[in-house]
Parts: sequence; C-alpha cells; structure tokens
Amino acid sequence: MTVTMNTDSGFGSGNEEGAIADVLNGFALTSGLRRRKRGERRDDPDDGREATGEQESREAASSSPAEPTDVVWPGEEDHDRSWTGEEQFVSAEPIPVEPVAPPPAAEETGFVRPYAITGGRTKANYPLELETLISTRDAAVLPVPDQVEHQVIMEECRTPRSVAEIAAVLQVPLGVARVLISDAADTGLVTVHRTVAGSENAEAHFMLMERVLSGLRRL
Amino acid sequence: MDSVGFKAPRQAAPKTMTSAKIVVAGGFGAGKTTFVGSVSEIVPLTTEAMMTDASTGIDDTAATPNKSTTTVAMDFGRVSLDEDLILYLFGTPGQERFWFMWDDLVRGAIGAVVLADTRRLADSFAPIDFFEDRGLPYIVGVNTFDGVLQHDLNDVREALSIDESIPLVRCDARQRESTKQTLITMVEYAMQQWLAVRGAATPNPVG
Repeated sequence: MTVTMNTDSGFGSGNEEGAIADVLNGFALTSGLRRRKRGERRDDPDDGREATGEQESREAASSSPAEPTDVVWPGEEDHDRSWTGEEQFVSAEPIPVEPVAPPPAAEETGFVRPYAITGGRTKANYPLELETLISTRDAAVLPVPDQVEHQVIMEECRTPRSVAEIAAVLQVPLGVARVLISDAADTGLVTVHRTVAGSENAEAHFMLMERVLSGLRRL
Repeated sequence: MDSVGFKAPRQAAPKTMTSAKIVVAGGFGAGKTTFVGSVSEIVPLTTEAMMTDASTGIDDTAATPNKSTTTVAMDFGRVSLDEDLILYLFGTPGQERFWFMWDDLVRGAIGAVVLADTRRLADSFAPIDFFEDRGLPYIVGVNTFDGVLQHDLNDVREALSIDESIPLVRCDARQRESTKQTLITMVEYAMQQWLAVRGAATPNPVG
C-alpha cells in the first residue's frame, strides 16, 4: 500500500457548518453529561447558560425524561448553589422535577457533532503532540472556567497529564481535545510543557533517550 | 460577583516536565495492549480520533460512504521514569485503513516495537514498511505465547526480510520484566541509530 499521509494530522477541516445550533446542543448535553465535580462553585450568576435559577427550571421543565439530552440534575444544582450565598432565594426550595436518568455512555450521544463543544473550531494554537504534557497553572487564584471541559482539564492536570490522557478522560476525539486544551492554555488555566520532538533538537532528543534508558533500567 | 476562584494547591511538582513516546505496533491479537499493560502504571486508556480529523481525501472511505466520522481508537499506557519524566507507550490502531493516525504516533517518538505473532507474520509487514519509510528505529519482538517459540528466530528474520542490524528479540508480553527488556533493547538500538546517522555528537555513547 502506498503511504500518503498528512503530516499535520489531527487538525483537518472539520464540520464548521451549522455550528451554532450544534454548540448550543453541545453545551446542554455536555454540561449535563460531564458535570462531575460537585464541590466546584459556580460563581457568576450573570453568565449565560443555566446559571440562573429561572433558566434552570425552564430547562428542567422542558426536558422530558424520554430525552436525556438536556439533563439538569436538580439535586446537584441545588447542592452546588448552596455554596454560593447570593442565589439562595432562587433555589431555596428544591425544584420538583422527577429525576432524569443520566444518559448512559457515549454511544447514546453520538448525534452531537464532536466539534460542537469547540464551537466548530478544529485548530489548536500549540503544538500538542499525543504525549505533550499539560499541567494546571500554579497561580494562587485561578478563575473557575465556565466550560465544564475546562474544569475537567484543570482538575486532571493538577498532576501533569498528556494530551492523549485528557482526550481519554474527556471522552472526546483527539482533535477536539487539542482545541479545548489550546483554549485552556490561552486563558491561562494550564501550562503546555515543551515536547522534545524528533528532529528539532538532536542533542535534546539524544539526552531524552539516555534518560529514558536509565529510567527503564531502574524500573 | 466576580472571580470567585479556588486555590490551586501549590505543588512540589518540578517546573518542567518531559515526556517521551514509544510506539507498539503489530497485527490484531499480537499482544500490543498486553505488552503496554504489563509495564503501565495505569490501566491502558483509549483515545480516539475521527477520520474527519485528518483522513479526508487520504483514507479510502469508499467502503463506508455514509459514515462520515468513523472513530479509531488506540490504547496507551504510562510509565513514570523519574519525577519529571514520563514515558508513554502507544499501541497502534490495528486496521491499516486507520493509518492516518500513525503520523501522530511516530512524530517525535523514540522508536517502535513491532510485536510479531509467528502464526500471522504477514501482519507485521505493514508496520515494518511504515517505520522503514519514516526512518523510525524499530525492533521486532516475537511474542512467545505460552513461552513457546514456534519458529527459529533466524527464520522469522528471513520471513520478515529485515536487516541483520535490526534487533529481533523474543518476548512475553504478559511479563513485565520481558516487556521492560524489550523496551530497553529498543531504546539502546534507537540511540545507536541516532549516533550512526548523526555521527558521534555525544561524548559518551551508551549501548
């Protein structure tokens, strides 16, 4: 077989069309699906989607149990809310919504175009190799990111994690993970560590091999 | 209300972290995931890429015309070699039509281990061709299932038509020690190759 390869793989042209609808769809879906950090405070009530109580109840009401795409788990929201005093009056009473079964794994959600959560963008601003390490910035106070995926990235990368690991944890394709990581780095949430790529710096690559060799021998 | 943040724990983690990558190739069932899992400190994870990421117009999608986002999965593991050094082992996606992923895999990799199953040696041809084409150092590990080597290693070398200089070792993918030795052989070979190609630029060559 002839091997014709795109050297810049992973950044190809994606589905840019119909982005807005998809994005909205994606937000609703992923915010329900991937909300895993209960202790995280959601701080900014003015910030768009499902941050205010009214919006939430509206969303909750409109989501029928048969459509698990728009999951707002009320119990969890209330729990979150109790951390931030300001909004107490909105959610003092639990919103009476029948519990919606959390959507099972990824197959169920296949209809959301993967690049929806990146707003249809497919390009990353950093050279993110599979093994490139990412770590959460060591700043004293970091803003809590709005996007759930960024929260997950920050959580994961408290100890350095590779791009591949982040993609696996987020359960998104590599190309999507690259854009998300790139965004997180642009907003100063995470640091992208330098990757010793093959031909760029011969010395560095050789030294890396030496270190790997002695590391393996110590195992 | 603005900027309610959380305190990121001040970690003692070193400022700069380094990572390296080794590719583990081989046909379906050759033991790639077993190999990776035997040294990995994590249960091998799976990451995916979509065909639309890279392969549009390159990969032959004629067989599946209605499927625009076929995903391809690859398993990988992690080995922390030092406080600031992590080695990742990436198993290649088996099917040849997913070769677009291989560019990502080989870019910057130290080298590759081709796991050969002597019952299906032909499965090793494609990865070997690819690595030779890309100039990525590779060694061949003949996976001895149940500790039984079915064929003489020289016969295997001949069947694979690989150069004398390329290490051909037997390994048991289930055994951590065996996997470790195979990886050591691979890195040593990659360093020799590096020196051979670039001249003895480094004062104390290892190998």
